[in-house]
Amino acid sequence: MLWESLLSSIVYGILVGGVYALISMGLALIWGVMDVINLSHGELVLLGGYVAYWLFVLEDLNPLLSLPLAALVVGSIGLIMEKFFVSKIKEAPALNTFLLTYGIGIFIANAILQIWTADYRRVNVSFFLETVSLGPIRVSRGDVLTFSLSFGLIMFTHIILTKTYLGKAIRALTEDRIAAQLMGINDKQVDIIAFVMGSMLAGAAGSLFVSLYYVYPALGGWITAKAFIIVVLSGVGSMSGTILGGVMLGVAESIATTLISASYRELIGFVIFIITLLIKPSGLLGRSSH
Amino acid sequence: MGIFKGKISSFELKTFILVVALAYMLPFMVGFSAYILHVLNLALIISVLSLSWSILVSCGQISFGHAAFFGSGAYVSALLAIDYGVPPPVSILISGVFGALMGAGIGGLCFRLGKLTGPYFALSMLAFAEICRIIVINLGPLTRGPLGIYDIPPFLPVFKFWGLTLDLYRDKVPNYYLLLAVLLFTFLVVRKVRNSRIGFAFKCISQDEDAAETVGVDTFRYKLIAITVSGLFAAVSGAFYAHYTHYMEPSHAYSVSWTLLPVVSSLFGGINLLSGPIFGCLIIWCTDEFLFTELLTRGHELLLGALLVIIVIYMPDGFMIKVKELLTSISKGGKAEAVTENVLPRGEEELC
Amino acid sequence: MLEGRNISKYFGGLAALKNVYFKVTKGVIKGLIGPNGAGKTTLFNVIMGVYKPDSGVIKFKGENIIGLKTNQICKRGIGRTFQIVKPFKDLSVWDNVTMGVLFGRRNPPGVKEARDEALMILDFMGLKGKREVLAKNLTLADKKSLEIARALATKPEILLLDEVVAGLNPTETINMIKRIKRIRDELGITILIVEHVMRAVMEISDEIMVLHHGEKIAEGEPCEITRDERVIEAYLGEKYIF
Repeated sequence: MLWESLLSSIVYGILVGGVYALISMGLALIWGVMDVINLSHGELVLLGGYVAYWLFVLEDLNPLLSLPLAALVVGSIGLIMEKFFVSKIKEAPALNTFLLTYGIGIFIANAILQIWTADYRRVNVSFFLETVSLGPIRVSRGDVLTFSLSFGLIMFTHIILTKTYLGKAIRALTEDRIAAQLMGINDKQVDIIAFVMGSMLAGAAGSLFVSLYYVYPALGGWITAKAFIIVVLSGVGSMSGTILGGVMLGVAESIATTLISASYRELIGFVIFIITLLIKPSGLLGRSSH
Repeated sequence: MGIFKGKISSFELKTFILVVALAYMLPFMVGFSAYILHVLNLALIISVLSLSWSILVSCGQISFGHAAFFGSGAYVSALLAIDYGVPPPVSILISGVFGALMGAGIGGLCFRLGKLTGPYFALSMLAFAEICRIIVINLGPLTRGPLGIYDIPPFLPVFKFWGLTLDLYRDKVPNYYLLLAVLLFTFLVVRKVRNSRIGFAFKCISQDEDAAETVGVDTFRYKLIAITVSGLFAAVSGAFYAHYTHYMEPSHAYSVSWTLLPVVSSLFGGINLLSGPIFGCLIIWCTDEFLFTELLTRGHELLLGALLVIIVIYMPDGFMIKVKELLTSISKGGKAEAVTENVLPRGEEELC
Repeated sequence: MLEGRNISKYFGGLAALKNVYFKVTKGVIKGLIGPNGAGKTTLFNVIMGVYKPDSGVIKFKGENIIGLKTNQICKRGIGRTFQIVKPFKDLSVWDNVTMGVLFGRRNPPGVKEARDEALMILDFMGLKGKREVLAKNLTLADKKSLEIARALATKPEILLLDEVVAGLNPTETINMIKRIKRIRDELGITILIVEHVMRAVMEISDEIMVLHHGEKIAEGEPCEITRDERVIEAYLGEKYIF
């Protein structure tokens, strides 16, 4: 019985890990290219989630269909953020951008509170909730679907990053900004594109997230923390590392929740967070971050 | 104009006396309005929190989880006073010791074991605050769980004699002067620390940690001192808050506000000035209370977030620097002070 | 005075230092050269306790200093400058050096005495006139002098200089070389210097040791080094002219 539930929780952890990986990919992209740790990333994910929620409630749109729209909305918010705020303080000490995005995060979280109140929201599609049995393992369709979509989006982003000129420019900036500038890459333009791409990934992840979990305005910081820890685990700019990091976090959380009392469920996440930071500050799975 | 100032300059002393005198007369000027004084009292308490946060910043470390110290200080003092009958002045002191120990513990973990810097440290503080909140919620028998603690005794006594009661608590004025004294004391301690060897070490560390270590600064030791002192005052601030407001519950004790307010106020006031966090906090708190909460009944932090964004972009040195420049130029008879910067051509930027 | 035996340091699988033996005797200026990535700065970091070596001992005045923290090593009497300068940017030149006096010694003086002493050191390094300038506003040459002044303030018995001449113009280079010689001659401080500018290092060093791929390939007087087959081979393809 324990074994079965443990096995199920591992599979569940892997599936959830896919969405985690997608969330952290946006953060890693911006972090790598611009050396900006976007502390409002979790709030951007939430925003994507709420957009999908609204489309579901108002237009009865399936969250999987509203995904591109959520990505678009959050992407434009990202565009505004980069153009009017983040790019203004490029020259300032790194901690300033950190404080700036912290402020933006607080702003977005409270804007969400204004619009959608503090209630817990979730998209409940009956199709998603049905469980599929694979021998002793039981998972819901929603989990499998979101995992596959996350995986697909990660692969898609990976292809853009490795095969297109733009992707190569982005990776060049991640490696060495000055050298990339000397090679004629317009780094300001690439910065904007990277920021928007990162935000779009956050928005897309949000619309998947809202069909798995309840969302509420204060959840953003928690999402940022998870994404941050995955990037710390996997290093900036490694796709396989990101997926592995996401899955590791998902599985660790899910097993710990099965074994330890549910009232300490939230605690486990934070303890994992602290332990990861204390033991391995950078790049466990991939090359080290900055 | 080095950072090693000798004696306090007469100008600084005059300004200090003037400000204290103004603060002393403030209750008269607001006509002893209980509401205004209540808001001011809270502002004084939170100023202590801002100062404590700025100690850590002066050592180059940014914390996104000062709520951890604030909330724990509040809980320790409140529970000691209610469940163990410890008189509030003593329980507040004990909570300060608790905050210091907590700071030392977190500092040991983060700075020694994890060697965390910059964002890594800032975010682990955030996690520590959350961990505290969850623990307090789940330790029901000890902390009364999510419902919180009611009837926390005030720190000022109620005298009863000859059938008359002199309730020093209900009257906001004695509280005001007491809290003002606490803030002044904190300010003087912080000033003493920052103008001592410890403060100079903080300065080195905040400038460049490797270089500091190379010239013989024991960076771990001083960072530990910084977080210990910071934890102490943050916890004391939380304890005063609990006794002053009578009521404490986990999500309020460990609210994001107790992290956000010190950040916004210290930056607004200017982190390079000792008094920056205080004036920043007084202004921010009052604006928040009188204006922001009126504009937005729920989520007034929205405006605080917006303010933080504006400050970081447009005046990262804080507004007090401007005020100080203005005051200095007035006191020097309109002549601006000679600035030592940029006397020489700028050094070329190294590419290596 | 400073002696290292069998020092090895690996980063991942890569050997930055392989069984390096070195000895710096009191009163000499010893040059440490080698192509890029030879392990020179790594050796400095190992001596200063920034990295713990995977094997080996380092003895300073007969005592093992491995395992000590950088600040303790500084207080024992080893000063160091950085290849990429790291002054306390927002402090004045004077304050920068005062910090060295205040923290780098076992029995530090009071602030006033520290400031007076810092002023003497600034005078020695030719920075007295710029003492009120913020460190970030100095020229590169002055920043390098400031780093040396700050290291001198800790009263070192041996000074590790990491590329203090690189990037300076000819006049500045000549001045810097003169100063380094004066540090040894007048203050009696032993010097271990890493340098890329061959002319400078050949001119000031009494002895030179050469690192290549983390291994010591040669050691001796400057004129011997320039004739050493392995050294020439190591540098082949690089643009240094002997």
